[in-house]
Amino acid sequence: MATMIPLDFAAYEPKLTPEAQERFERWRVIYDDMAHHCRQAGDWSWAGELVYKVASVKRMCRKMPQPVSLEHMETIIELVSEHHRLPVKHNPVVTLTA
Amino acid sequence: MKQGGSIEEYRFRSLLDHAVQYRALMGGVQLYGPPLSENLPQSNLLYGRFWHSRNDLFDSLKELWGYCRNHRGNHGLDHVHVYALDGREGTRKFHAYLWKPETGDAMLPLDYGRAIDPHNRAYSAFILRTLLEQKKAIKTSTVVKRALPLAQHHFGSGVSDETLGVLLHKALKVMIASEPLIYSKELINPRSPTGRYTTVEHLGIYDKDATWLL
Repeated sequence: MATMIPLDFAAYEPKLTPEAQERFERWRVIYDDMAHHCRQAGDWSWAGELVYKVASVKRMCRKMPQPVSLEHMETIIELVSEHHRLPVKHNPVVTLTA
Repeated sequence: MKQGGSIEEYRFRSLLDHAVQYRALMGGVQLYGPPLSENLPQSNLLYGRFWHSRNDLFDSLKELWGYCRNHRGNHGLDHVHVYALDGREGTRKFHAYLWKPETGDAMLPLDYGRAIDPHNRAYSAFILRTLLEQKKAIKTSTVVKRALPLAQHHFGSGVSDETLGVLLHKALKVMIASEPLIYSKELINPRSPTGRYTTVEHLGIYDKDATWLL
């Protein structure tokens, strides 16, 4: 039996205040749900984009003063929702009928 | 390339040189679904992504684990290969791991023996062992020459050296064609009758003392 290599996820997590954590969890629900449905439909790469979008909040939190406050979390979420917009999938049928 | 790129195993060797040149760490995850055929565990590739930082790699793995915990019955994932190309110390370092939803916050070193052809088991095993003992890329004929004593020891005196050599060479060719972690390069040699020769190396030779987790 080969040796297991432990993964210390907690060490790389940004520190959040409880309110910020709660806000983050509330915001990400819809993206997790979308990702799950994409995976069920076999579109794993699109699910990857959604996960990347969720993870980009964590990435920005790491650069913030720790623990991240609710105000900072609001700003980050607004930025990510606004700036990190997912590329729209092109639907040729809609384009033709428009 | 902020969002990372898709994984193409045949580019691992050049990416490793790239990581060394820029003193960078790259990590990737390759997601596999339940195999389409029993002997082909890698037959259902779902998604793969390369990251340019350790944090992104850990984030994607953690998200995946959370997803598997939230959807225990129907997550549709079988196993994940985790690759790390570490050039931060100026030397080539390559690490490959196996992660499964059941193992959670731990992973196993990837078994390079999965490359062994089930129909040609003994010969492929000798070739793999020889390749992993090397320090750098060597000619295919040298690999066969170094694997020959192992085969002779295993089969005794019943089989001639020529036959063993041919079978070992065949096994090596199959592995070059089918195993993504074996990298081969064709070079020109005007003195050889064919005009060229092939060097081959297994990326497992760069797999030593992992520090990328720290």
